[in-house]
Amino acid sequence: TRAEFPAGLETLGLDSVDKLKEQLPQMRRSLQTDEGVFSEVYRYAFGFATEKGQKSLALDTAFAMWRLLFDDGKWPLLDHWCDFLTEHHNKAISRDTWNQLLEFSKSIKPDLCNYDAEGAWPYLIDEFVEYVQTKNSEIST
Amino acid sequence: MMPASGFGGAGGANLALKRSSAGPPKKLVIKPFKEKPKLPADFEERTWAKLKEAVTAVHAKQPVACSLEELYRAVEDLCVHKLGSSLYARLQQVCDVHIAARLRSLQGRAADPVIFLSLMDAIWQDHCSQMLTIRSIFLYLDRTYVIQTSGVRSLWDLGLQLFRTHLESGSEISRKVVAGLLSLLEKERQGEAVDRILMKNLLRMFTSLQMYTDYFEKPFLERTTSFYATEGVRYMQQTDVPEYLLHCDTRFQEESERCAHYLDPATRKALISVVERELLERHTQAILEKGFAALMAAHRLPDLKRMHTLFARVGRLDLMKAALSDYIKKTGKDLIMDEEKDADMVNLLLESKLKLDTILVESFSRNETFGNAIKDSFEHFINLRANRPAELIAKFIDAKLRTGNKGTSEEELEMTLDRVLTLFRYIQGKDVFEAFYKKDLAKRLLLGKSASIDAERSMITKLKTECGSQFTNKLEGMFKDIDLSKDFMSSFRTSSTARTELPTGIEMNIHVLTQGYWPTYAPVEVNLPHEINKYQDIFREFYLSKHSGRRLNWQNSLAHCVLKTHFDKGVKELSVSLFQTIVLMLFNTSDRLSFQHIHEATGIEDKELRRTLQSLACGKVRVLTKEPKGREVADTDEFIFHSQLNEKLYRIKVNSIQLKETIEENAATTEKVFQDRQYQIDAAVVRVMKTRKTLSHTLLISELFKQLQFPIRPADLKKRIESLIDREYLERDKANPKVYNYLA
Repeated sequence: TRAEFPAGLETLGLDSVDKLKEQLPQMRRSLQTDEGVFSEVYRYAFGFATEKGQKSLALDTAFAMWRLLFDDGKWPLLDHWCDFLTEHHNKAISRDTWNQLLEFSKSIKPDLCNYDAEGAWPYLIDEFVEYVQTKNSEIST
Repeated sequence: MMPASGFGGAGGANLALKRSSAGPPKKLVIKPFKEKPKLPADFEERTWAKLKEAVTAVHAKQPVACSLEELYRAVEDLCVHKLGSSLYARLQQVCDVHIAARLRSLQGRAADPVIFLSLMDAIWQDHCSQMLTIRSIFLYLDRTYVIQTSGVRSLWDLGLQLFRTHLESGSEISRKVVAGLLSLLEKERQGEAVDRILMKNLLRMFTSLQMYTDYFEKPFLERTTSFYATEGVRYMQQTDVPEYLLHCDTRFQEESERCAHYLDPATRKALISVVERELLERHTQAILEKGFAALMAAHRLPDLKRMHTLFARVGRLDLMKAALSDYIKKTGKDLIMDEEKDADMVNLLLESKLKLDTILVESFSRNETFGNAIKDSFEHFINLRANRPAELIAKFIDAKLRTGNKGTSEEELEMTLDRVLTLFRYIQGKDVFEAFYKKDLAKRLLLGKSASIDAERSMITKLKTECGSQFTNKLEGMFKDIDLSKDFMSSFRTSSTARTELPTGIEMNIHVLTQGYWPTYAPVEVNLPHEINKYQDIFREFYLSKHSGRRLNWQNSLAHCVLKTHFDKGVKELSVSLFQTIVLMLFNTSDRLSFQHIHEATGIEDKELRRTLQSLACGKVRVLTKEPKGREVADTDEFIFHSQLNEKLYRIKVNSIQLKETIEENAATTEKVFQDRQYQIDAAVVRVMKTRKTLSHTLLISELFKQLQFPIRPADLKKRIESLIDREYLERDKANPKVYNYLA
């Protein structure tokens, strides 16, 4: 919101455009390096991207946000994820799925070897794992 | 001294007088020898010679020269004169020589085992009888010297020892004896008759000589082992399972008998266990694989019983139980999964269960573990196909409880219901059964199709015992509604409102159903005939005056009527559904009507209307005729009242459609059950989380499995949990996403 913007700048101690310009690259870098910052920004992004009063995020918007956040190969399975959603899900994304995806990208290896299907992952992510595994076996055979 | 004669007193006295003149009694003095009498020098030699001659004669089976008493005395003499030990030694020597010679005579004789054994037997019998005789002669020696001296054997034992020594040393002989015995045994096992007495004697000989265990028993058991090992394999290949089992039984009996007749009883245990091991234990798995299923399928009770007894002997009932489980699971699965058999499924299942129960009692002696195996296997396969068995069982019961079930006595019905209930017990998704049962029960109650209220109530009681009162609550509520409605109707009819205001020419019977108890019916709006409307309104007023605060909704789809119809040939009563009634009553004003007109006038929904018209115009009894003819109702069709209807019965049923179940109904019922399950899952999750406040994912899942009565998959649970997260009943814990927190 408009009110939040200056309040936010104040908290960061920036009171001029130049100072903001200086801070920006640092802030960008912190996104890359600082896990905590990235998590916060990621979670916030959901609320930011949803329309007012909506509980879930439209798929296209979700794609765009993910591409933005996970740019530069931050999460190698991103493309698979988007393909999967387009093919099989085709519906809006819930907040829970959004948040859990971050966890997933952080903790699960790209080859999915440490994924526990009995665990507390959302059903959509279970299906995604199945999808990738089927694809992989198709490629290898 | 004085003859005790009885001659006359005088005579006796005379004699007495004569004797007494002899003088005082004479004293008889016996003086000891002056010299100790000495034995003659060659006493021992001479006595021994006599004895030796006797012994030799005995050994030679010749008559003995001296009398036995004389010989006995001779022994006694020697013993008394402390010559016992040398006597013993000499005797031992003589016997030793003799026995050795006798046994040696066997060497190189008779290739034929039977002859050889007979010779051996003869030698042994001779030995025994001769030793006995010798012992009698030398009895004194046995009773005195032998007993008094330690380390000296009794004469009999001495004989045995000597015999044994020589038998053992001439190893060829003992081996030949054993070999001969074994070959005879084998012959007997092959079915030939052999000289059992001969064998018995020789085996007793071995026992007496204490050679039985080492010399005979060991090779015997070895030979038996190899015999039965080969026989087992051969028979398994050549015969089928029932024959093989019978053969085993026979062999067991034979060997037991053999023990009783000539083998030493001590061998029995080892022998039987050898046979058990070779004939049975080795082949248990093969027997099961080869023939168990066939025996089960053919219901061969005695063969199964034999198998059970035999397997129990070798302690392999566990294998049999596993085979039983597999068999039931497999045949059961085939039965359940075959969709074409659906119509018959319940009957087939009942049959199959009955057969298994019979087998359990007759062949498996009600073995508890086997009974449990049957139960578990049934439970396993019946749930392989979700929902359908439950539905079919409900339908089966419905058919039994409906009218038109001629020929089943009350007891038969009870028994059938009990057996069906046993099947019901195995089903995990009991809520599917409940939904279908409720639906069918409702139809039966409302359309008056119950064959017997007692049977209905008995079924409810059974279900209550099985599943608890919560299960049958609603069902009992349905019965209550019917009863209450009946009472209410009678008070309605006698009320003043009814008598004054009701339209004439029409009679109605109304059931008031409590919504929660009955299946949900979608209300259907139609244009009712005027009289019916009026009646309904009057009733409603009356009812609400008695029970304020309630809402009544008319369920038109459930109503049925009896229409008095005037045909050319006379008046008939038609038993029809309400929809059919509405349609037919239109023909009061006109004989011919188009589909469109009927559609408009009745307000009945399109698909339903077509079905109704079909039942009136295209079925067995055609109250209407359709133009153009054909089964399908088209928009442009026209319908004519068939006044020339010719039917014999006064009351005609045209109302079959209400009773039949449409495919849509079926799917709807199943769908509703699933929805209900979702609500139950949600409720359970909230309940658990409310109590625990915080719970990990895995613990939540296991808790839900415990609480929910129907089969569920973890994936389904996950979806409900996510839905609840979305609806903000729970949240994931911020620190650990695998843990959920309750949100108040």
